Amino acid sequence: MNTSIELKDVTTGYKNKPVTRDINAYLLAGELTCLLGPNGAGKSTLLKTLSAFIPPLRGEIMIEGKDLKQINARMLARSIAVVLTQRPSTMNMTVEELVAVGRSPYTSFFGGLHAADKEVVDRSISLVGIDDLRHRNVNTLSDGERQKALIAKALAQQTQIIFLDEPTAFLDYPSKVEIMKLLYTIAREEDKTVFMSTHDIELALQIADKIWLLDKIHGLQIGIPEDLAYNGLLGEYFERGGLRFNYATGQFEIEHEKKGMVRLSGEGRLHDLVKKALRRVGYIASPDAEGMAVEIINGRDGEGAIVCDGKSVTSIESLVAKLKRLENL
Amino acid sequence: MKFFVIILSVLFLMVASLFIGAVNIPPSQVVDVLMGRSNNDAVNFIILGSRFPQAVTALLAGAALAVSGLMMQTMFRNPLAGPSILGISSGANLGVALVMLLMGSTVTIGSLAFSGYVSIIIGAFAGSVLIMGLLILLSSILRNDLMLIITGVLIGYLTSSIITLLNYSASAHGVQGYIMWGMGSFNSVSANQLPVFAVIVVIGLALSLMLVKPLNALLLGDDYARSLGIPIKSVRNLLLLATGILTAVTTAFCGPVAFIGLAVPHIARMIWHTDNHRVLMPATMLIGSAVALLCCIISVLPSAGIAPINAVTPLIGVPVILYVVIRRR
Repeated sequence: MNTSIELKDVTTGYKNKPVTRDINAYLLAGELTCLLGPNGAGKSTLLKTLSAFIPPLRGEIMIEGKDLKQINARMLARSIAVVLTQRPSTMNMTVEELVAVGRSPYTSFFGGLHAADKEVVDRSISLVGIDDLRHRNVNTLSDGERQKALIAKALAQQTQIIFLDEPTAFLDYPSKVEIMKLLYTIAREEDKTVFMSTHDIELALQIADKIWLLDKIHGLQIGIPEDLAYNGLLGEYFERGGLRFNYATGQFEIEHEKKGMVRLSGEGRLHDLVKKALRRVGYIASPDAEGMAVEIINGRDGEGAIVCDGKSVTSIESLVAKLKRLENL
Repeated sequence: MKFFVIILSVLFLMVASLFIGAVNIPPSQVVDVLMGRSNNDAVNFIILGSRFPQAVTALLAGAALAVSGLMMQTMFRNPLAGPSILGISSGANLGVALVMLLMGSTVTIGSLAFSGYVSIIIGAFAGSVLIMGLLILLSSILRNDLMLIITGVLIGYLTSSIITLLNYSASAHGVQGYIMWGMGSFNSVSANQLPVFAVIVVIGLALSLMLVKPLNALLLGDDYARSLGIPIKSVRNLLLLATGILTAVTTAFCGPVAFIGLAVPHIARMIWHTDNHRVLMPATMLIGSAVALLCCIISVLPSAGIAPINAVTPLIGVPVILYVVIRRR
C-alpha cells in the first residue's frame, strides 16, 4: 500500500503556542483512519495543519512524496479534499451544483464544466448514493443528506486524500453508521486515503483500519483498534469516572454502581439480555454467585422462560422490578 | 426563458423611458426624432441629449449597483449587505464631499470640467475602497453579521457628521451642488460624459463576471474555497476593486442611490431560486438595469417635475428587504 502522507517531526499549533509536538506518522492509501481524542486535544489543529490551512510550527509534511510547502494552492486542491465540521451558511443551490463546485481546481477561468467534468460529478453523486437528491436544494436536505452531498463534492475533486473534520457530528445514529460505512467503502474501492476526526469512538473502533489517539497528556499514539485495546491505550485515553473500557469486548461500557450479585444460569439470547439488564441496574450476574437465583429455561420452540426463585417471571422488566422491590425492603 | 423575458423588459423600459419624461412630447414626435426626421432642436435635445443619456445611465448604474450588492452579499455572507447599508456609499459620499466642498467646486458634476469630475470619481473611489477595506478588516474580527451591519450604519453616521461639518466651511454654491447631488439622479451624466461613465462601468462589470467561479466557491465558506484552490486573498482584493469601482463611479455621477444594490440580488434569487453566480450574476445585472429604468420612469411621473431617484428606490427596495428579513426568521 502507498504512503499518501508522511509527517516528520511535525509540531502543530499557532504562533508561539504549540498544540501537539513532534508527530511522526503516515497515512496509507485505501485505508480509513480515524482521529480520536477528547475536546481540546488538538484534533482540529492537526487537521487544519494537514490541509495547509495553517502552517506547521516545525517539521515537514510530505503529500504524495512532495513537501506540502512547495505545492501551490491549485495543485494542492487536486491532492486534498476536505469536508469541514462547520455547516456551510445557507446555500441556495442544487446538490448537483454543489458537487460541481468540487470541480473548481480543474475548470477554466469561468468555471464552465466540460463533458468529462459532468461525468465526474455524476459518478461522485452515484458513489455516495444520492442520485435521487441531485436536483434538490441543499437548504432542504437533512444533516445526513447534506453531509453526503459534501462528501460527493470532495469526491468530485478527484483527490487522493480526503480529510473530514467530525463528519458524523450532528447526525442521528443510523446516519452516523451510514456515513462511516460510506467512507470505509470509498477508501477501499476508490483506493483513497480517508482521514477523519470523530467523537464516535465505538463506531470508529468497529470500522476504522487505523486509529490515531490524541490528547494533551499522552500526545499521539497510532495503531489498529485491537492493538490499542490490547495494550491498554484506549483505556488510558478515554477512561474516566463512570466510563470503563472492556478489554474482552473491545468496547466502552458505562460503569454502574454495584448493588449486588445474582446467580444466573442458562444460556442463549434471553440469558445474555437478562445479564445485560441486570448489569444496567447494578447487579453482577454469574452462574456461581451468591444471591437471588435466576434461571433461564429454553423451550424447544426457541422461546425462553425466566424463572426467579422458583417462580416464573413474564418479562425482563418484571424481573428488574422484582429486584428493585427487594432492594427497598 | 426567464432571461428572454427580462431582456425584453429591459429593452421595453429602455424605449419607454425615451417616450416618458418631465416634458410632455407626443409619441409621434419621439418616433420622428429617433428616425432622424425631426427639425425641432429643442425636442431633439430633450430626447437625444437628455432622455437617451439618462436611460443609458440608468441601465448601466442599475447593473453596477446591483452587481456590487450581490458581490458584497456573497463576500460578507450576509443577505443584508449592500453598498448603501454597509456604508460604502457613505464612504464614496465623503470622498465626493471632500472634493466638492473643499476643492471649491461650485457646481454639480453635470457641468464640471473633465479634471473636476475625474477628481470627484477618484474621491468617490478612494472613499468607497477605504470603507470596504475597513469592513473587510473588521469582518474577520466581527464575525457576527449583525455587528457588521451596525458598523456599516455607524460609519454612515460618522461620514454624514463629517460632511455636515464640512458644509460649514464650504461656499453656498458648493453646499447646494452637494445637496442636489446627494438626492441622486440618473440625469446627471451628460451626453459627452457618457462614454467615460460607460467605459468605467463596463470595466467594473467585466471584472465582476470574471469572479463568478471564486464567488461560487466562497458560498461554501472561506475554508472550503481555499481547499478548492481559490486564492482567497487575491479574490478578496479583486472583489474590493470591482465593488469599489462600481460603487464609486455610480455614486460619483448619480449620487448615493439607495436600495438597488441591496434589493436587486434578492429579486434575482426569488426568480431563479439559486445562489449559483453563473446564473445570478447576469440575472442581477439585467434586473438591476430594469429596476433602475423603472425607477427613472416613475421619478418623472409627478406632474410638478422630476422627483429625486432616492424618493423612488425605497418603494421597490423596502418591500423586498422586509420579505427577506421576515423569511429569514
